[in-house]
Amino acid sequence: MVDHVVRRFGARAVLNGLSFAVEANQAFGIVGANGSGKTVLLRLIASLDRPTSGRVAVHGYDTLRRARAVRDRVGYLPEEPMLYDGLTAEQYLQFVGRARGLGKQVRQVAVDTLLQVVGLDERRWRDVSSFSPGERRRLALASALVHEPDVLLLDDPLRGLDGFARLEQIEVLRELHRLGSTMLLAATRPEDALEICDTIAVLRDGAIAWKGDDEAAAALASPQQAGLARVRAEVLEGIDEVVTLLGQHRDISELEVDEDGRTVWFLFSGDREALAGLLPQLLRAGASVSHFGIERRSPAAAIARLFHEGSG
Amino acid sequence: MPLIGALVIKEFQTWLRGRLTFAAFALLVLLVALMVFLLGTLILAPDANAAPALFSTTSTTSTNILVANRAIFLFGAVGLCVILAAAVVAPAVSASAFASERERGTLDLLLLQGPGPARIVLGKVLAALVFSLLLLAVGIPFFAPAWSFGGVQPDQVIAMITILCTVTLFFCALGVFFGSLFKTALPAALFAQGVALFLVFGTLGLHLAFAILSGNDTFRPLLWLNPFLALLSGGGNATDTFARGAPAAFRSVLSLPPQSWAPGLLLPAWVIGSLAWTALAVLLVVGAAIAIEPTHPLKGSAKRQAAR
Repeated sequence: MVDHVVRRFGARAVLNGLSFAVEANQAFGIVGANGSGKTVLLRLIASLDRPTSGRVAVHGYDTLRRARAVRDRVGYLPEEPMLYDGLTAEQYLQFVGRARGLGKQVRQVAVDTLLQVVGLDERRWRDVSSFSPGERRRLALASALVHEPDVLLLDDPLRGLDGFARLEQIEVLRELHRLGSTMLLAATRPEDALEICDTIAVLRDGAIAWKGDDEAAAALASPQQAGLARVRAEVLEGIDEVVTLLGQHRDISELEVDEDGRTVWFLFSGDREALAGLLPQLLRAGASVSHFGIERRSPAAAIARLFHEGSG
Repeated sequence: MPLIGALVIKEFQTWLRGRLTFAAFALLVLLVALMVFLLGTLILAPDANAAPALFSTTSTTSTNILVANRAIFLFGAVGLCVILAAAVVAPAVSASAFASERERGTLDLLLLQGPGPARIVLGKVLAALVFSLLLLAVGIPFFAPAWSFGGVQPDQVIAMITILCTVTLFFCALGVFFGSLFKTALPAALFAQGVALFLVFGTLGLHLAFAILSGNDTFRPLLWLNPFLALLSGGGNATDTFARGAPAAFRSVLSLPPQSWAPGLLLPAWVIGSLAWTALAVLLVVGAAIAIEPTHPLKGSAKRQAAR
């Protein structure tokens, strides 16, 4: 539970009155742009930082007054895996288990199981300095699970992973969620959170700007009224002319240009013939258009648009 | 104490895999050997055939005392070399071991293990202590000449071991303390070594400077923290006699008299020093634990004051 939390660094408020609660067994995704305060939030929940004001509690334990109780209950996977180069994967997990006070037999079972779960069983005697970024992340995840935490705090667990490594990590996290883990996952890419979480919240200007589940995200991507079509145009030249022309059209609303300065989105309320007549108008106005058509925005793209909307 | 044990094992697993460790071992052997050679030459050179002063009725010069007690002085000289090596090695080992946790971001990992920052600091100090003592064990063979002369008493060996262990503990705590304050290993190690070397040389120099130049005794209490003088106090009659034969200005410095702390309890300087180093080490551990705990109430009040 995060209650009116403010975290300032000097004059800058990274978190500004943030409040939300995560239910047991829920996979809650916090998405936001770089520097939006996701990592700060996770560190506050893991009792690795103090809020300037407000209160954070895990399972009812205040992170300031009962830091040890909180740390016993959370497993934290940071953005950069915290590993000791010079130790093997086996030695590293043995160290974490020993530090957690697990007995020798329990520890060995935990290490064997976790190495299998994260797919590093055959690499257990390799020095972690020789691990790929994906393997390092999976080993760090295993270390966060050694003490069977009640709450998993995952800071961009899919960052830098692609292809098979990404799919593997997603599968591991989904399986953990299926087994009943409560997760709080921070991600810069909304699609990462959508893969794993059942609830997503957008962190912007230090507070929750939007919150919803998969369906709400899909709705966010769809036009708000029946009879509207979302149109995407890729403009190679003459973007100003295109924006001027479209801005004057009575059937067009929610005209937006992406950050790339080439992609134009708008909602069109007219019929198909009227839409088909738009392209020749754009070409006559001197624009060079490489793509023009009706498109659904993906839920991830719709969420990503919220990162900057309305922010100063 | 699972975290402390885990930390000690982990530190050894990482240290013993590094080439730097073996380089440090080799360098330490060379340095201790060189220092022992130079001091041994000083002690053994005066006159190897001179009549021992203990059996002389006329001569009590420093040279004769040295010759008569060459075993104990050689023993003490090797001890001095090992303590000097400890003042250089132990703070560096512990400071870099601790600061590197912060550099790697693994301090968070340790904090998340649950048992609390004090045990993390204690584990680091103990790991560094064991490792430093292992490194310093390279000095053991250099005690052999002292044994071959005979005359070193068991209580002098006990004094030496106690001083070495407690002062190394203090040096390690010093390193961990500075490691907890600095973000990188180098300044932490340099500051810790600076304070350790001040204890070894600075306390003596400061007291002598003020005593000789202005007759001021203000810094005399610091002498109780000097490991060299503590070692000298463990030498028994031989060093007392040696101190009495020294120039007047150095006499009071070289001989720190035993202190009575309770009726019938007379504590020699090396015991007082050992107790002081241990107490200071505990204070440094507490200080470092506060420094690394992000949720400590003291940090909250400091942050609020800064915000005002």
